[in-house]
Amino acid sequence: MNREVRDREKSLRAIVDQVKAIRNGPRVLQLYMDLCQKCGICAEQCHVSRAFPERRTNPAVRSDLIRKLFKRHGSALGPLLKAVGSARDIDPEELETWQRDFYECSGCRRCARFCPFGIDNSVITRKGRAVVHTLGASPYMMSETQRTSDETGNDEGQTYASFVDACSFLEEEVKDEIGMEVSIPIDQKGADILFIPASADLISFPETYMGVAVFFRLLKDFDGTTWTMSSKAFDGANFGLFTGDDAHMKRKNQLAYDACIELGVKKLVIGECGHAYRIAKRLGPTASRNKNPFETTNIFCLADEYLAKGAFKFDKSRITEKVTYHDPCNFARSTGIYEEPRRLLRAFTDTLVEMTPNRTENWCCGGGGGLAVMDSQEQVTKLNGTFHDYRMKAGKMKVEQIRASGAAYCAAPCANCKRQIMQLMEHYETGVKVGGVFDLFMKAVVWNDAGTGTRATTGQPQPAGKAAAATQQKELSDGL
Amino acid sequence: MYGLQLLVGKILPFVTIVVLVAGVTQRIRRWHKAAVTNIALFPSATTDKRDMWREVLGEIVLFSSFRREHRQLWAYTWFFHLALLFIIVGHTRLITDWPLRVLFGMSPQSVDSLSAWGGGIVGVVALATCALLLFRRLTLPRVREASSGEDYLVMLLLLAILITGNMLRFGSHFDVTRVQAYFASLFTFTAIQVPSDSLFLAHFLLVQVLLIYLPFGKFLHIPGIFYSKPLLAKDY
Ligand code: HEM
Ligand code: SF4
Ligand code: SF4
Repeated sequence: MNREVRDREKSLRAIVDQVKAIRNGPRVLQLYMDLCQKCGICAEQCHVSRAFPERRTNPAVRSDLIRKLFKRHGSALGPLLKAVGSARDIDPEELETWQRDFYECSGCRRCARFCPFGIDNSVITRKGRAVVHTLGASPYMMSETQRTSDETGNDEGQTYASFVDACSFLEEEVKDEIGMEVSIPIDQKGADILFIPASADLISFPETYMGVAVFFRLLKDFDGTTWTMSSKAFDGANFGLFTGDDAHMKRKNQLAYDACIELGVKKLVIGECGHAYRIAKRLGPTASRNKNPFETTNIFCLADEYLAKGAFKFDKSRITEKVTYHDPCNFARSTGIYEEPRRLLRAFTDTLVEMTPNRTENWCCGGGGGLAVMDSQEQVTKLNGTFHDYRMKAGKMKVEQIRASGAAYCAAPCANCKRQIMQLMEHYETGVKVGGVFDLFMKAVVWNDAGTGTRATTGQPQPAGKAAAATQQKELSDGL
Repeated sequence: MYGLQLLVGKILPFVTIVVLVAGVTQRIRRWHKAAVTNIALFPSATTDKRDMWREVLGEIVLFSSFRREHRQLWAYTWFFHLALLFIIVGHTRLITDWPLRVLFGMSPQSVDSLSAWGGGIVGVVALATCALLLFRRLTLPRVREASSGEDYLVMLLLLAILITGNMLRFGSHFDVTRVQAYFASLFTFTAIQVPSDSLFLAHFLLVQVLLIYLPFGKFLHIPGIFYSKPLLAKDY
């Protein structure tokens, strides 16, 4: 008992200390402590706050958890500010409250798009989670995933052998599905491109991964560009962004950096994983501003570039059902990638329909910030129910949006979004299929098996001898 | 009365100036020194500094990011701020008519009528929009649940200032030249003559309370927005 009391006091002191330290923290946090006018705009622009309006889901109120504590302890006028209600004393259950409340914000940054002062509540959320993490109180799945990743280099804990197995299995699958010979090169020194997806794709969303393999095969046919995977860095997902653990974020991204250097590639290409791209491009050691000897980009920009060069030909008649595109927060708002995937989809099919709002104003799926992988209560004691329950509520805006679009397929190029939206579609019984953009690439692409290494005849009239090969292609639209 | 004149007119102004200047510079110094992290937000983020400032100034002058989706609130706040801006500009007249007289070549009569008309309209607009903002805060549940005492006190203080200010303009036969003489004596530290009008003293006291509060609370958004908007608009 006594020990419990002492532990609690220790953790409360640690919270106060870390909040006080914001005085010397990054500019963005300091400003956000000072600027909020409580104008109420964010409450209308946040999907969580809209889906279940309660005081604690109001972004300004959630951020006040830290703000009011900071004003109490980080300012000489603390007692005075407390008297007028803009500062407060720490609560004995502070940690438990933070654990729940800061994991009810998906860090989607939609509020920042509309706040008159540009207050990005996700930054405050991440600070809150970081404090929770230093006290060892992150939700179970969060800390567990980080631990696995630190041990094995990927979030799923796949070994080298299982990674290689999965790759060769998928090579077979592509052959079975569309009759194309693809190879997924591993640790190929001197390749032009190192490709890093979220390793969850290998297991949970193999179709996306197969589509990427087909894409790279056609790239090679087109102008000889070669690619490779790395056995040490085949997972771009990075929970350090979600738990607020900067050290983990850097450590994980360092694997990608080291692999690029070791393999001597010219480009690092991130797959269908929004937060992986945001970290790789802006936050980690591979970030472009670090003047690295390689370029950091993503699969959409790369594919878009080759699309413009005429490297692929698609049969638009194969995809007949309506397709919509979900903008993952980290691709649209945080890295500005929203036209490239749409140009690709429009090349695959004429059936693309938009959700409203879209692009940088898109509603979050409700599974951002790592929430999508959490199903149970995850040892968050104050949470009423499970994270799955929570996510099904938080995704309400998204479900309505998808329904209203009339789409039968939702392309969501992010492992978190995919998982969350799949579960949403099941939970709300919409019957909408969910997958990636490259799943559709594989379905729509027309190709000639001209043999690897030679220039593709794609897009040109087919020579008679190749006709047989062309007929090997399966009719794929039934897959949709 | 004499005690109040002494306090509000001769002592407090110096305290106000010191607190205001020191408080704001200290806060801006703290922001300025702090580390900058990349939190670029699209579509506005850009790597070009000039584009970035163009974007940010648009935000600051027009409040553009929430204009489209929150028309009504935008209108309240924008006109509220515009009126406040004109009020601040208008108050320079209490120190000198020089810019209007010399730069614009206006006669003393036309300065007076501009002040009466322009100042009158702006004062009423500020009061009305301020009352609307307070009303909104009290009646909209999502705004109310996030508000604390400070949010109400600030608005009440502003209302009190605007009401006493409007009373000075519309109610009494208040003499501007006496205030000009007072400020002149205050700034030169010579034989300070504090006007004895109690309404004036009340207005002046409230304004000084506001200025002393400025470096510590909500009003920090005035310098703050010049720092916070560029953070989102700047990419590396
Ligand atoms: C660059 C200049 C400024 C910008 C861009 C700006 C912007 C804003 C915005 C967007 C709001 C939120 C609206 C709301 O509360 O609903 C606000 C609130 C407020 N601003 Fe400003 N402001 C600026 C300068 C000023 C100045 C000079 C004052 C002078 C006294 C001022 C006083 C206030 C007050 C009192 C509120 C609170 C309104 C409320 O509580 O509802 N602002 N400002
Ligand atoms: S929109 Fe911005 S200023 Fe308004 S309440 Fe939300 S965080 Fe505060
Ligand atoms: S980041 Fe997203 S989930 Fe979090 S408060 Fe802002 S809008 Fe809501």
